Amino acid sequence: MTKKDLLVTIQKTAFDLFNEKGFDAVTVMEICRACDITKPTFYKFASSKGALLLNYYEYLLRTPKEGWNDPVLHGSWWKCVEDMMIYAIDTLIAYGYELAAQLYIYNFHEGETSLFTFQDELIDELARILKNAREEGSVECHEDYRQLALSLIDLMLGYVGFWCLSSGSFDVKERYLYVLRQSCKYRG
Amino acid sequence: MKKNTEEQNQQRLDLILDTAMDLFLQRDIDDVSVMDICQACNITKPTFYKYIDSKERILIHFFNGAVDEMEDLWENLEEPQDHLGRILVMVTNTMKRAEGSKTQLFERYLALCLREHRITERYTSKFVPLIQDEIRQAQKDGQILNLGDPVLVYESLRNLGLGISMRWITSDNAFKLVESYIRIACSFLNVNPEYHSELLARSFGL
Repeated sequence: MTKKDLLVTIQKTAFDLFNEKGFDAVTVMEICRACDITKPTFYKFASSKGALLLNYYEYLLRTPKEGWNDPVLHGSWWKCVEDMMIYAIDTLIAYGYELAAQLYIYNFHEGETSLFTFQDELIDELARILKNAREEGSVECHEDYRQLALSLIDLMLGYVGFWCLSSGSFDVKERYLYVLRQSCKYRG
Repeated sequence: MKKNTEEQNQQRLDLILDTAMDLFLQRDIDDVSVMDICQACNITKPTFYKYIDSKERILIHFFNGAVDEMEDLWENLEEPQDHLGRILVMVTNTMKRAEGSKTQLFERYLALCLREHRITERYTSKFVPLIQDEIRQAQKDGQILNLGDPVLVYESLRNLGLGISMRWITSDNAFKLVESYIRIACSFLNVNPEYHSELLARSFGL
């Protein structure tokens, strides 16, 4: 098994354990036993349980290889925007509101590996796609695309944050999609 | 033992809260023990726990205090026709409180809410329908051009505030919270470029 495969295995195993028993109840030792590794090996890959959660999210976000900047594949440039944001929100929802809340809490302490800043590439990509979506005429969003991309991500993280606070009591994806269109002045 | 009146109880609770917040602002919250708070208030530990069940809970009281403040804020808001300004003054209240205290305290407060899945009072207060009404009026009067369902427009303003607040915490206070929020909120609301909000100018210098 390559180093990268082992990391993903650890992340996936830990994720399943957290889901099953709750984040606080799972010890690093348990994760090690489940992956058949030693504690020093664990710490070579992750500094803590929280880091594992966050890195797994980063990994999942990068997984779709075909990318988002293909209007033929997605239907239009605006559909690229929607599909990208829906993918990001779906990935967080798949954590469940308990684990997603842990992800936020962990994030507060870890400025440099943050949910809010790590996606630099993704922010740039989203900004480029928004520009194309405006040029194709689907939206009349304002033209500071990077700033807009950043605020759409804040809005998404705020929606999921509130979803965590309310114990997952509403359809966060549907609401976000509506507001996303409003915010970008969708003309459909 | 003579039973304390409700008023005395409230006074004592206020004293504990104010004293604790002073200490939290002076030092790292982790360096302030319940014992420190008791000594500063001249009360015993059991008395403390009669009023509040943990140190962190004090933060809930403090940030929920923003809701009481909203009452005064709302009463004293001038410019009844300036719906845009009224909306933004009301929805930025907690953020203003956060920016005026310490990032660390707001962080602990939000982490506690997230851990306990707690919808705090500011989200359920009686001001929610009032702000939604202001949004409806602002749409009608052409102050904002985002004509989405006012309930969902309010929801998006609130969640945008939560998202930006969390970014602000993560960035460790690297940008001006309220100012950035107002800028983005105006863009989301799609403010009519011909509309000048007196309250925005006065309250935020914009």
